[in-house]
Amino acid sequence: MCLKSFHIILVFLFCCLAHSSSFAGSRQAMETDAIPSYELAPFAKKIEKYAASKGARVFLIARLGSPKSELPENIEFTHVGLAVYSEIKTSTGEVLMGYAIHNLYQNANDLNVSNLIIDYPLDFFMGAAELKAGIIIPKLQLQKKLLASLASGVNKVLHNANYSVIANPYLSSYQNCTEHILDILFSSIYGIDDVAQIKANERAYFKAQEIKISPLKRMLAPMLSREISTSDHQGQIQTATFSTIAKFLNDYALAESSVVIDNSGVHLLGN
Amino acid sequence: MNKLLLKSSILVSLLHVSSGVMAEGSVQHFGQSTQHVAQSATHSAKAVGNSVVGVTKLVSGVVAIPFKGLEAVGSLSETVGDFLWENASGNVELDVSEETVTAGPAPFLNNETLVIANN
Repeated sequence: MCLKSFHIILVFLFCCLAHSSSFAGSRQAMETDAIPSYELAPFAKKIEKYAASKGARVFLIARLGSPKSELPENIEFTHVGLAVYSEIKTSTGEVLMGYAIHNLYQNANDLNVSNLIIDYPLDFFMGAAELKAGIIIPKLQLQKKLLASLASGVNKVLHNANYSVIANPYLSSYQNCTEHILDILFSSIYGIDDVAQIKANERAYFKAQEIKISPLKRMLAPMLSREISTSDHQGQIQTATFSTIAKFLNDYALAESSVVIDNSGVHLLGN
Repeated sequence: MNKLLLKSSILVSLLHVSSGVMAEGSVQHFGQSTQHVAQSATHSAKAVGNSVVGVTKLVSGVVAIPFKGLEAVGSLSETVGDFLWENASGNVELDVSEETVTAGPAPFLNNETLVIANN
């Protein structure tokens, strides 16, 4: 009788979970549905050429790594990096002009740990669920500051290797890719690298995205997935997203433009 | 029978919670993917650099230096970079090479890439 009741409860929980919004799709499905390289390569080049046509030396770039239908409301992109117009020396000694992307990536073997990795647009879009890119081109003055930050290694100083997918951007306990970019932005804007001061400024001027997640998932997720921590959240879960960074930059006149590029063309972000 | 049902229910429930909450986040894909690119291009897993996908030439990037040649990063383009940067209005079109650069295998498998990443 006791077992039967427990079973009924589990079935009920399963049904509840099936109807609550998922955070994202599984990686296995993503690999199965991977966009072929012959489509990704020209798309990645198209993004580079768009940014170059706008004279962007440094810009924020985002990809959608899971089907939109599997993401929580208002999540448009799942990974953000900083693209820097660079001279790229190849393994054959050629020097090419293009964009190198400065990323915070999860460690493939240890998902709650991150590393700073430089890659290129094609690498960046590998694993994307859609041929869709988010681009924010900061004002030129901010681009200069961002480049100076990268040159002085501020990104390494601000890197926190403790990774959580839903890291609270107002605290420094964990950091995800988007929060890392946010921290670099605030560091560059204010010319500071003190994390406590950066977080204070973010609390004052940056509005994070609220993530709707069922109480049950919130309770169980950290136990079942090492890349998710909820210990840095009190009350509503909030995290930095590409869209909230775009809003912040637009609100303070720090962005030249914010667009989404897909196969149908270039669209203003949010439209 | 009840025990079997119970175990399978627990398993299904846990799997569902686990997969449903996991975000794609910032997982790095280039290690596996460049190998995939190379396979697409040459039907061989060993060649990553200088391969071709469709009409796109792929080359393996070794180091990338921001074009405004800053001392802390490097000095490949000191003169030209400084000139262009100081005179930039923010909307001057930049040149982009036609070749598609890839980062090569995952850093934990390739010391060279790891060094680049940690520079």
